[in-house]
Amino acid sequence: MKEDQNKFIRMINENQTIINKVCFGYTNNIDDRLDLKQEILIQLWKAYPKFNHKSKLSTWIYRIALNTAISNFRKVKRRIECKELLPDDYQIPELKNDLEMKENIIEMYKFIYQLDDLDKAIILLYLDDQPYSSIADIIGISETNVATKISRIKLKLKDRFEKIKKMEDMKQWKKKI
Amino acid sequence: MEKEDLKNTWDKYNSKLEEITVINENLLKHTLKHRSNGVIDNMLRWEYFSMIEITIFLFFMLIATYKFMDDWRFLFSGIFITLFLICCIITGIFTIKNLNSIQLFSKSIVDIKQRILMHKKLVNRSIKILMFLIPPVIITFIPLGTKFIRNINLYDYPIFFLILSLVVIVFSYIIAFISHQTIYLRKFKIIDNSLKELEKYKE
Repeated sequence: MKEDQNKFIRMINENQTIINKVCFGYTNNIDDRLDLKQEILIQLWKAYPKFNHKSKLSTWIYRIALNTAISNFRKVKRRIECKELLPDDYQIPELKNDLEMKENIIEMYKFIYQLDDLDKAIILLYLDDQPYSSIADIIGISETNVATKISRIKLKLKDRFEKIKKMEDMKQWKKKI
Repeated sequence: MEKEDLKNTWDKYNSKLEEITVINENLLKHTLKHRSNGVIDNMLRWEYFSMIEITIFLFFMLIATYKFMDDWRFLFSGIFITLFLICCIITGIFTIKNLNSIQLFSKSIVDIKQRILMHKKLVNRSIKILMFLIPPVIITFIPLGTKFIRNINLYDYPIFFLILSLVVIVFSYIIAFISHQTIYLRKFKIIDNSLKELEKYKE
């Protein structure tokens, strides 16, 4: 039992970025993030004896983490509104000195938060270079469907980029006047 | 920020995320030791607890009905409440079956979402039916209960019993009707729409 626990802790430490990414993608404050992290760890621990090494470990962790994040059983499910978020809400203290990078990350999260739960899962997996077959397996749709969804998300991203650009142009134009 | 920028930002952010302190091992051990049950396990535990409670109540009702079955009014009350409790147990079995089918490690996200929505639909439907069934259950239970516990026959006080029944029916049905119109119709609409959207998503 203790050996299993140690193995599990080692596995979690090696793959903690996956858990962190899912937690950051689906919550917008520290309390919710910790709550989700704890729930994901519990689900992983419960499922650990049933892991049969047929799928990749990362795919398995992603599946459980995303399923836990998406299932509405968690105590509080706050709708994340981009308007409500302030730069500090993103809690990226490591990047305090790199302002441009921080702005980019905030922009990235603003975009991610705008997507619905399933599209959010697809984009997280896509950005993490997961193959289409894994994404299809985790989400539960066909590979062709994954490709279609990703191209739709890209279109949304393009739209958003154009809107931001227009707004920036407007601001500059107003300044000139 | 375009697609390439998003990807670059993501990669840079990942490297930063990796720098975040490794999950504290003691904290992890503590979590595994003290919160070994997830949310679904707690819901299951609650369902099992309710089933035990209902079974005990059913047992009590069967004894009471058997004891006073000579009077058709008590017999009718007993049968009605017993049937109601059996329906509750059947619903409980379905709920437990639904909850057990939610396996976060082996099912896809779309599948889990569908199962959760189906579970919510079942729970909401049961609550809705319960709201309309509970008043007659209370009215039929009161005389049988008082007869069994205190040996008082409420049917000997028809006016008091009639007033009590009317008060229970009027108040509980007003609440049931308002909650049905305001909460449950909306909830069902949302669940049905989400299920339709999921079906579309899979296509």
